[in-house]
Amino acid sequence: MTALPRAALGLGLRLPHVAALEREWPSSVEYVEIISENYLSAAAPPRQRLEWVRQKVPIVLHGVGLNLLGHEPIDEAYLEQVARLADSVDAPFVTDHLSWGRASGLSHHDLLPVPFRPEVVAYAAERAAFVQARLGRPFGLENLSTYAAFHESTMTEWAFYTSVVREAGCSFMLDINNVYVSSVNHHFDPRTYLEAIDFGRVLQVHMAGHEPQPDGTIIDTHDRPVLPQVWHLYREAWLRGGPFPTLLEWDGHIPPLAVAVAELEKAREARR
Amino acid sequence: MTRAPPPWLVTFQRHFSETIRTPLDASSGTLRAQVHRYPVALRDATRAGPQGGPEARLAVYNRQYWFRLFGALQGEFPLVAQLMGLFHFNQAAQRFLLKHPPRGVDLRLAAQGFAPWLGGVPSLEAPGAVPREALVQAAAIDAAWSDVWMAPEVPAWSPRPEELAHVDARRLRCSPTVRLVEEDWALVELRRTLGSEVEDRRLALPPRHARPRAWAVIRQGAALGQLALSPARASLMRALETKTLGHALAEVEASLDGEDRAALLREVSGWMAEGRRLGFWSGLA
Repeated sequence: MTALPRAALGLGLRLPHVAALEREWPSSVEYVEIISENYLSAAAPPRQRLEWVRQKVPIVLHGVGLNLLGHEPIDEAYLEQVARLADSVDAPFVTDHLSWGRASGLSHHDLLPVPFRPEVVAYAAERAAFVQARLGRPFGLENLSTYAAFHESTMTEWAFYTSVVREAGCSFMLDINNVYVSSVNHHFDPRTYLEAIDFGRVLQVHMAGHEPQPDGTIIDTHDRPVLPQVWHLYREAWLRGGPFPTLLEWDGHIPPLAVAVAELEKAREARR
Repeated sequence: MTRAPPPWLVTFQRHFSETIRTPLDASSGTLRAQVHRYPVALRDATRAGPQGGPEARLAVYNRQYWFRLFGALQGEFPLVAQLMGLFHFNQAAQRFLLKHPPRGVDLRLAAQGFAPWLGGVPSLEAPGAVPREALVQAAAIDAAWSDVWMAPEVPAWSPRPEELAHVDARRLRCSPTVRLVEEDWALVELRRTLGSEVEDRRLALPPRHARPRAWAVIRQGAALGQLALSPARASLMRALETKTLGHALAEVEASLDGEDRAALLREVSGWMAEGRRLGFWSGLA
């Protein structure tokens, strides 16, 4: 399995950047992350692109379709496809979300929350351990940006997250922007969240931009630069538990490659 | 895995699913969440936050569900979306998705079936003077673009001499990297001008052609191209989808007259050679 340098910087691979990457690969982009679901079909151009990228840098897989917290059984055919894709690019690790997105046979194409309760920890941990075993490589769970909380919760989000990861024996895919977004939306101190994380088990950190709403809620939009307060939180995380691989996600209003790379390089400044 | 989900989790997820799939209301001129339609049990289970009550919090997910799907359909049908304008396109998309909610993990597949649905829907709200027929043709062109782009790599047919000797009596297998489309307006040219991001501006419908035109949408490697087809050539290509080369030629020749028939007889060899070179066929059926 390809190893990723612990302090590596990476970029989410997006179609509008492919032509610029083909012209000249920026030295700051030491690995890329792909959205697994975009590469599972038989379509030829995405696969051909991966073969080319794989010659340049390591590729890690990030999924949005696992449905770990869903009430339906894990889709083993889908998991098999992800495992084959990971094998084909020799991915150092695979990540997905601590969320659900399917119910009663329907896909919602979203990362949805649940009440945080011990019985869900046990349910999720068993499923995450199964996924990691099937993938045969490190598997990381990403924390969500959330906009709703529930009376039935008996645990904090960070207690829920860390318990699932610990019981499953998998890893954290820590999204610092998501910690920040949830901290504003649910009024908690994001540093308390970071204190709960075992950074020795962090496979990767995500950074992204978010959009404040007029009512004060913030939405995880990935459509703009990372906000300064999120870089501050990143620095706190780095001082607490760095080094860790850091990846920039930019999914909407995607800027030219040079702009995204300049944003990624802010991670180096934040580490000083 | 042996553990079953907690029963309350199943109920919670069903209520949440119902909530986020609640259609948005367009009657005010913008798409608004109808929070009064959310299941009471979920509203009661959701905490009010510092920035609003339970309904406002659930509405974030409700809007997110719809707008992510609208974005996916806009991405697959950019020509239709920009001819209709995004507000009206999103309403059509919502009608389609309520009838055909997504079931797979691939977001692009949420748009599958939209073109035939659009062709069969009795009424469509599109402001201005975009005829429904033009929108249906635009949808077929968008679908062709997408199908060809997402097709697997298929080697082009390179006939052996013994195959060529009997080719008239065989049917050719059409490649998934080529699609034929027809238009009464210059929609293919318009589709070519669109970038990867769908813009919130309405495109003007080009003037109507004097007679329909046909194109082949072709992918070679990672490049998409379009080849204009004369009427005779387009008829032949269509006939070849279901008939042997001999039968297709005879049928098309009988249906043409004048210059179209002369063009067929004069140029058919060249068309077939170019078709092979561009990968129109993947072999003999």
